[in-house]
Amino acid sequence: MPRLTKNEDVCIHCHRCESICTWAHEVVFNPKRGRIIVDLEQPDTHHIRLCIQCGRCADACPVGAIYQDFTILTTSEQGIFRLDPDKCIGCGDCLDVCPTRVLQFYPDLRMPRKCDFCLGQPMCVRYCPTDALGWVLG
Amino acid sequence: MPGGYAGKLLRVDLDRLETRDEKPDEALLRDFIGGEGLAARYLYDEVPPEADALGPDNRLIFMTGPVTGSLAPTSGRHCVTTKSPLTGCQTTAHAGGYWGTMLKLAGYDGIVVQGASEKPVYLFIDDGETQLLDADSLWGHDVFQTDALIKEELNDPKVSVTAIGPAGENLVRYASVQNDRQRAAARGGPGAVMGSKKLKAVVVRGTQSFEAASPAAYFASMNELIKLCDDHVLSGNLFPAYGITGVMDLMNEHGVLPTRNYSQGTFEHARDISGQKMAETMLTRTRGCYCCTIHCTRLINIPLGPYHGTHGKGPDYDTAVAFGSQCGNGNLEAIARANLWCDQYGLDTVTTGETIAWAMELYERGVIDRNDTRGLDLKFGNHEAMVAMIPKIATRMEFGAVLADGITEAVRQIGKGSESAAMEVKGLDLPGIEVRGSKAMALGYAVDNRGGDNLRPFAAATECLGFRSKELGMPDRFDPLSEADKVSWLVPAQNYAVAVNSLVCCLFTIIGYSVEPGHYARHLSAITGFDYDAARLLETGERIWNLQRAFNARQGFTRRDDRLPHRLTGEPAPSGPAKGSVVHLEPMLDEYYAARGWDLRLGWPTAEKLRSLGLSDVAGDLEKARGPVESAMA
Repeated sequence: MPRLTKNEDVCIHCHRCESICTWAHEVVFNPKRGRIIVDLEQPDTHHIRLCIQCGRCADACPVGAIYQDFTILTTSEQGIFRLDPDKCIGCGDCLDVCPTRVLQFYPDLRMPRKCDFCLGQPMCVRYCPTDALGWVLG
Repeated sequence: MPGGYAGKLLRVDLDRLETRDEKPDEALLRDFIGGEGLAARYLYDEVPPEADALGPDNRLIFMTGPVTGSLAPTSGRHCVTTKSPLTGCQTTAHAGGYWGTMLKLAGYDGIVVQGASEKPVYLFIDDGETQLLDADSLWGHDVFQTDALIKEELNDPKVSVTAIGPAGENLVRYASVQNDRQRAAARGGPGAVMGSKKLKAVVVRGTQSFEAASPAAYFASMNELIKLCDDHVLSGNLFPAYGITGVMDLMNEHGVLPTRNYSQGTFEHARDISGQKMAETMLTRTRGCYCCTIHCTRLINIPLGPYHGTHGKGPDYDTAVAFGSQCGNGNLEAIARANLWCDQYGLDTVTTGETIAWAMELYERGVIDRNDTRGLDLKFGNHEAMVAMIPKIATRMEFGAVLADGITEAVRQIGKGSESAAMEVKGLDLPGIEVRGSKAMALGYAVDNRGGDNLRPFAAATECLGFRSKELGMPDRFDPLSEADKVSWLVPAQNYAVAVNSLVCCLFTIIGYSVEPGHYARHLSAITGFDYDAARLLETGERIWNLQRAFNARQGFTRRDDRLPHRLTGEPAPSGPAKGSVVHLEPMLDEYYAARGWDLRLGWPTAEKLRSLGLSDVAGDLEKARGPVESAMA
């Protein structure tokens, strides 16, 4: 049961995870469109918001736009929760229940951008320069 | 529009309080890339030689390059170009952080500010929409407060702010422009220009994407750059672990650590002000600028003692030299506090430290006394007095008023032989390398387009530490004490450095030549779609270097200004590996001008050289300027 882990103590706040996420999903440069978010608390604290694939968003979705993809199993024998853009109506109910506040509403798509674990090959982990992000199996 | 660019420049007219969008010409982007290069072209075209640096005719140009905001290592950089109030030359100060990326995402490659507002304003760029807002309530606040107040006013903690502090408002001639609180574009004093325009801050919020011309080639090239940076001993090992101050010991061992206002090249407390010491005592964690793998930024906290409460970014190498060895001070906590205060007040840390070091030498020699310093015991090593000088300079109080206009102006006020201790070139004080022990660096100081400057290129890393570039035709062995065989590799290294400054990438990727011209040329081709190779990248660098030179030449800077202080050319180094050595500058200058294809007498680019670089209009301008300058020299 793989999952993403974080170590904020070694995070260097470079935003590479956000940026590579957008690149991996949309092939453009834009750290503001990542499915992972890094915050800075002055003067020297860094916070990482990442998706823990808890599925609360799927429970909250009124139209069933968030479905489970069983390519790999994650926490609690669940699949990866993915967003079906054809079904999403942009109501924002999922945002309210997200425990890590990583789900954001994006006006350009009129819906959130949902982490899909890159279907088992998370690019944010691969490109983190200091291993602040991890991919843990089991 | 080629890839990598947002495709728009913002022109801000502060006389009329108007903004408008401009589209840069594609041929211009091809020839000058962006960043330092593109800004140099705009500065040359728009600032006439007679313009007062602190007047409305001067331009303040913020510029990003095609690589800014992309995924390459160190892509979070932008530059600030203006006519320097300290030197009268062009100056281009670079800063890291996140502001440049945010500007690109807001839809702009750069901002050209002209005119001057009557009352304080700040510029807010919100995803392509711009507003000039009232900054009355921000005027007088330091950089950190300004940052916090603006974020509160706009109700968004994630906007990126670049601002000036009280030093910029008070037109201190080496005031910095600070972005993201503690990232500074500082050398040459762009903060004073921003203050003269009554522009307190530029705030950006951006969410727009931009693209690479060939994504597959880009991705491969980006992976290559990451690997090159990670695998190099400096950019992948020493800098991440200890920051740039990690080289302090090495510089001391090579006798090139300037100490007590350049009177010697070794410092007995070098270890105490090094990055290694910082890691042992006060380091909390490290930070990278946008997408940077090098993360040289040190975050520190001093919880106890006289400098408690110093919490934030720690000093980098040149700062630690300026406030450390140069002031004879081995107290790292004092250096950290000085660094923090300079950032808060918006001062160039290097010039501030070097200017105080100069004052300390005058004090020890008895040229100035306690009456001049208003009671401050400005002896070498007195770090309390050193730190106490910083707010005085920023607010032009007491002795600070004398130092606030730079060393050249202070020499004029103090007189009494104080010029013999003034370690400056073209008015810009010399930073962190003692060049009697590094002759290529000495030449670099003398001829640089923004005055005494060690970054373009950082030749001491090449000749003292032995980091060679394979592509720039460097010799197998270096003798840092010899003047021979320096020009042949310094010229292409300068061209390369200024080209990298135009991408805009960080020079820390090329200090040890982790990344060679061929790699960056490939990267630039992939992101822009233009066809660059190593030779063309270096030629672009040469074009930019010549254009900057021509900007200075047009205002009357000649070979006479390409000089070094007498201490370096006339007084043998007293200690260290360079003991007994002086710099023989003139033969190196002859060789340098010849290699550049410049006029030996004036040190100006010749018309043929400029035409071969596609700068025919500049050749015409210099032809016109030549007559008056030659008659003045005669």
